[in-house]
Amino acid sequence: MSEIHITSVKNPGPLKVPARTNQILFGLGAVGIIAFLAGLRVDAPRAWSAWLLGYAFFLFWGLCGLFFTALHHATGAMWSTVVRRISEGMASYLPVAAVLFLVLLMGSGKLYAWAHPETAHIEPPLGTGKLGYLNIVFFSVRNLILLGIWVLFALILIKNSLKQDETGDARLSQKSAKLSVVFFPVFGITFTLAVFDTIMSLEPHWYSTIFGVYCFAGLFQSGMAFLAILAIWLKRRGALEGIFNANHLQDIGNFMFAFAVFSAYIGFSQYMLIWYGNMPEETFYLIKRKVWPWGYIFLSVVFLRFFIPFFMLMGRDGKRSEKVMLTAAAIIILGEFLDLYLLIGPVISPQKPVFGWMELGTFLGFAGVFGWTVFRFLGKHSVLAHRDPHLLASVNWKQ
Amino acid sequence: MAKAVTGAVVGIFDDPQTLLKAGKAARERGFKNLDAYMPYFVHGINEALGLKRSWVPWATLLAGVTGGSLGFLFQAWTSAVDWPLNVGGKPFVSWPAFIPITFETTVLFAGVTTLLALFAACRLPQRNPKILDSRVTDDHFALVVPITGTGAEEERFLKDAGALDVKKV
Repeated sequence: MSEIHITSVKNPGPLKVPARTNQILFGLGAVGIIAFLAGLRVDAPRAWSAWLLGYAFFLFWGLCGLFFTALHHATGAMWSTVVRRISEGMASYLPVAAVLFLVLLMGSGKLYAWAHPETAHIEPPLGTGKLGYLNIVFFSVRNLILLGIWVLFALILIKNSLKQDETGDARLSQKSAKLSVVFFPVFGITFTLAVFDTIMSLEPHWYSTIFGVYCFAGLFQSGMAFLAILAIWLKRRGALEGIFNANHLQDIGNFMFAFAVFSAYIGFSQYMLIWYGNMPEETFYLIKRKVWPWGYIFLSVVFLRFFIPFFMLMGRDGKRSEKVMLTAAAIIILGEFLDLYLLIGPVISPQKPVFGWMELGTFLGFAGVFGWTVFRFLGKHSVLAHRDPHLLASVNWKQ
Repeated sequence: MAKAVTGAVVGIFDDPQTLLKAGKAARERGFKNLDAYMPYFVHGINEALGLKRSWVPWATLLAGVTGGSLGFLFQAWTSAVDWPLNVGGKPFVSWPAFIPITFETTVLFAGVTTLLALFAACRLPQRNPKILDSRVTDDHFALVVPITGTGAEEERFLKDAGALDVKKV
């Protein structure tokens, strides 16, 4: 073995975010605001639909950061110590997401049929019975509480981690572990409620109890893809040089591979039960999304999220290659984007997909805000949890 | 033309790092078909000894594909060819209904084959395995260097590499 056992790691310090990167991210944010505001004047429901798409996509990445951080603490994982600060950076987006949700609330009347039951075709008994639950006031209160819970968990976990950077106190890790164990059942319930509200209730007649798990599968798969891209980027810039290596990359690849299978498993479970039962109140949702030209997107999602990453990441060598991982990550992220687009888009345009400057611009705006938040976090704090008790075990991780 | 292997010398080490160094040096020296025995897996030993990747994953893949195909074809054959059966008014060979069982047969074939392939690859079970040194199941590590001649050179090499004990087998 030519590699030496590493016995000490220098604190790489905060990331020096290039001015160029910040300019690009600001530019994207500005494009987003312009596209969204212009969109509101042209076609308000479409603009709000684009807003929801961007909001959900990046909320998922923020939650993935929180979930991964909690997973690391709760399982006592060692290998992931070197990338934990990145996932904390992703989680630092959650307070921003809460603000962006307040904007979404302004458009809920345009977006959700249940918000104006007198004009929309909300048919009894399926529709009207739900109005006690689906109304603007309860919807707003409920979702703000859910976001509040996530923000609280994220802030405490981040605070413990940053404090450990200064004190090196191992008890902080134990505290975070205890909190993380509590987080998982809470997350299961809160996330299911949140996606039922924000995405599933776009079609208030339709329901699927597995919908929360389905969204979670995409959340984790695409979040890991982003984590892989960012970690490779940081390594190439030198911030994680000599710290992040192929062994860690392979583990992230394992997650991406596993969740390619998991998301296909969950997606198929939902699909097959609806197909087999053949009940009109359930099948209409899938038929709308399976008939051409929406069907092209349906099929693309199956390939981009399952078949292609499945075969790309099956072997050991693929997961250890930065090139293969970057390609697979891009494919998975595109698949997740199309998947969310497929859940949200057909509501305002059931006949054919509409995708133009409004959708693209708004989405890029969200990307700019998300990227700016993550980089601001990494630019303020060390990119490595450099006094974590598991750090050396993580740096020397082999497989 | 490679010379025939006439036996092997075994060096016993008490430190995995020394074993790794010795293994690497042995390979650089040109000794072929090295092997190591350890109480637990020492990371880096495959690279140090130049051991090739196992063929077991390929057996798993092949068996998985076979199992999945057979499972699918069997369902199609029983429900649409041998005894056509209309279920819920759906067309024959409604493939989504076959997927769960196809998945299960894939896993079953792949799993069982992996176990059998592992046994074959390790030549297990052995009735009277030759025990090199009982300490390699406890806290010592053995490096096996096959010899083509008298073995004197190999023995000297192992002693120089830090072996506590060198023996010919």
